Amino acid sequence: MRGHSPDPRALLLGTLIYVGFVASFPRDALVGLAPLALLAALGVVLAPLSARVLARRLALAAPFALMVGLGSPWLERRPAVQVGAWALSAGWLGFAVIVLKVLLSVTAVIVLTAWASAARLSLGLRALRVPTVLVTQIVLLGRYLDVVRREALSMRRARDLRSAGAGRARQPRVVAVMLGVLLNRSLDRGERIHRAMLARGFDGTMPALGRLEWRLGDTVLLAVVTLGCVIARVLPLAEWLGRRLLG
Amino acid sequence: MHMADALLSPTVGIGFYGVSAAALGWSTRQLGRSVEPRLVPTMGVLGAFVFAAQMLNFAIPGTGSSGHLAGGLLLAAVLGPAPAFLCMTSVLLVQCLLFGDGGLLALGCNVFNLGFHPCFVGYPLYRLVAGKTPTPSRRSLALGAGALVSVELGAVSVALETVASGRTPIGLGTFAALMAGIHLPIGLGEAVVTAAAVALLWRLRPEQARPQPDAPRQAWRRMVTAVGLAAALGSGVLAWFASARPDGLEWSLARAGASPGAGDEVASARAWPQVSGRTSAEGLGGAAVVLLLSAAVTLPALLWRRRRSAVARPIP
Repeated sequence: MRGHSPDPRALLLGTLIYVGFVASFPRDALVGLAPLALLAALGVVLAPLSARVLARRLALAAPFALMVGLGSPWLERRPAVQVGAWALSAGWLGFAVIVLKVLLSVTAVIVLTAWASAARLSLGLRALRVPTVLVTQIVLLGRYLDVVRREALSMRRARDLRSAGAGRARQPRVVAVMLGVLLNRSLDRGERIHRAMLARGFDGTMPALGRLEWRLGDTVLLAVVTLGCVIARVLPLAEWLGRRLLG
Repeated sequence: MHMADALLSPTVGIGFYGVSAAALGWSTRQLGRSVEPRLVPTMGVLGAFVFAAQMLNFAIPGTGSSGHLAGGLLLAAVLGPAPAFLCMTSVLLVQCLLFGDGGLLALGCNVFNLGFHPCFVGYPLYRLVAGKTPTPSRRSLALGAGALVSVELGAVSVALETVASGRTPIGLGTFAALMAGIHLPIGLGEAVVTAAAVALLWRLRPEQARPQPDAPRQAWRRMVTAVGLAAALGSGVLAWFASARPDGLEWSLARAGASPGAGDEVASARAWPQVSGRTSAEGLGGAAVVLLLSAAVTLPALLWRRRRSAVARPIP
C-alpha cells in the first residue's frame, strides 16, 4: 500500500459528509442516488479492505433496514416507471433505494475503518474535540475487549459442555447468572487494571500516542468527497447518461 | 434494534446527534465533578463487558428466537447514570466504527435509543419504584420495570426516527405498535436478565450493586433543560426543513392523513427539482449503467487484493 494512510480527521469528516449526502436523497430518488456509488467504489479500490470483511459487515448491518424497506412494496403498488411493457411500482423503487443506501453507507464506514487503525481513529476523534473521557474510554474498551470476550467464551463453552445440549442452557435465568459472574470478574479486573495503571503514573487521561499530520492528500481526499457529493446531489448525472445512451 | 443510516434523513440524524451530545456533555461534566478515578478503568472494562455479554445469547421467552443483553440499565445500576451513559456511548461508537453495526449518521439516534433511555429514563424509574430501602423482590421488580420501559422506548424511538425521516410509507402508529410488539418479549428477557444479574452482584459485592449516589437535583434540572433545548432546536430545524422540503415529515403526514399521494407530487415538484423529479425509464437506464460501472470497478479490485494479500498482507 501507500506509505501512509490518510489523516483520520479527513476520513471521519469525509465519511460523515458522504453518509449524510447518501441519506439526503428522498425515498424515490434511485436515479439521483446511483452516481454516489462511484465514490464508494473509489474508496473500496483505494482502501486496503478485503471482500470478506465487506460481506460480513453487510450481512450484519443489512437485515433490519431491508425488513423495514420491504414495507414499501407492500404499501405502494401504484406504478412509478414504465419501462417498455414492464411497470416498476413506487414501492419496489423505494425498496431499491433502501438497498442501495444500505450498500453505500455501510461501505463508507468499512472504507473508513479499513483505512484508519483504531489507535489513529481515537487520535482523530480527540483532535475533533470529542470529550477526552470518551476517547480514553474507547481506548480502554478496545484494550480489554479481547480479554473479557475470552472470559465470556470460556464460560459459554463450559456451560455448553455441562448441559450437553439440554434445553435449559439458554434460559434467561441461567444466562443471567453467567452475566452476573462475568460482571463481577470484570469489576475485579477493572480494579486490578486501575492499580496497575496508577503504578505506571496514570493521571486519568490516556497519553496520546503518535501525532497527526495533515497532508495535501488529505485536503484532496476531503475535497473530492465533498465536491463529488455536491455534484451528484444537484446535477442529474444518471439521467443525462441514460438519455445519451438510450434516448 | 440498531437504527440504520439507510432509514434516516440527515436532518433527523443531526438532530439526534445534538440531543445525544447534550446528554454526553452533561455526563462528562458530572463525571468530572464527582471524581472517582477508580471509575475510569472500570468503565473501560465494563464497556468490554457489554460486548462480551452479547455473545451469551438467551432464549427469548414465548418465542423460538434468542436475543442478547442491551445492557444499558445494568450498567446504570452498577455505575450510576452518567458513567453508564458514557460507557454505552463508547460501546455504540466502537460498534459503529469497528464492527459496522449501526451507521455513522445513525450514531446519535443509537446513543439516544440504547443509551439515553436506559440511563435517564429507565434508571430514574428504577430508583422511583425501588424506593429508599427496597426488599430484594421489590428491587428486582423495579429493575425489571426500568429495563422493559427502556427497551420499549428504544423500539418506539426507532419507528419515530424512521417516520420523521420520511423513509417509509408505513404509518407512525402502525410502525410504533409493530416495534413495541416485537420488542415486548425482548424487553421481558432484558428485564429478567438485568434483575437476576444485579441480584447476584448484590450478593457478591454489596457495595457495588447499591444504587450510586444521585447527582444533585440542580444538575438533573440542568440536564433536562439542555436535552429539552437540544430537542426543541432539533425539532425546530426539523419543522423548518419539513416546510421547505415537503419530502420528509410532511410527506409522511400527508400519507397518513386524508390525501394520499398529494405529498409525493409536491415533493417531486419542489424539492431538489433535477434529481428527485419523476423517475424516467432513461434515468433508470442511466442509473443501472452507473451501478454496473461501480461494481465493475469494485469487484476486480476486491478479488485481486484477496489473491495478493494471501502472499503479503498489506498493513493499513
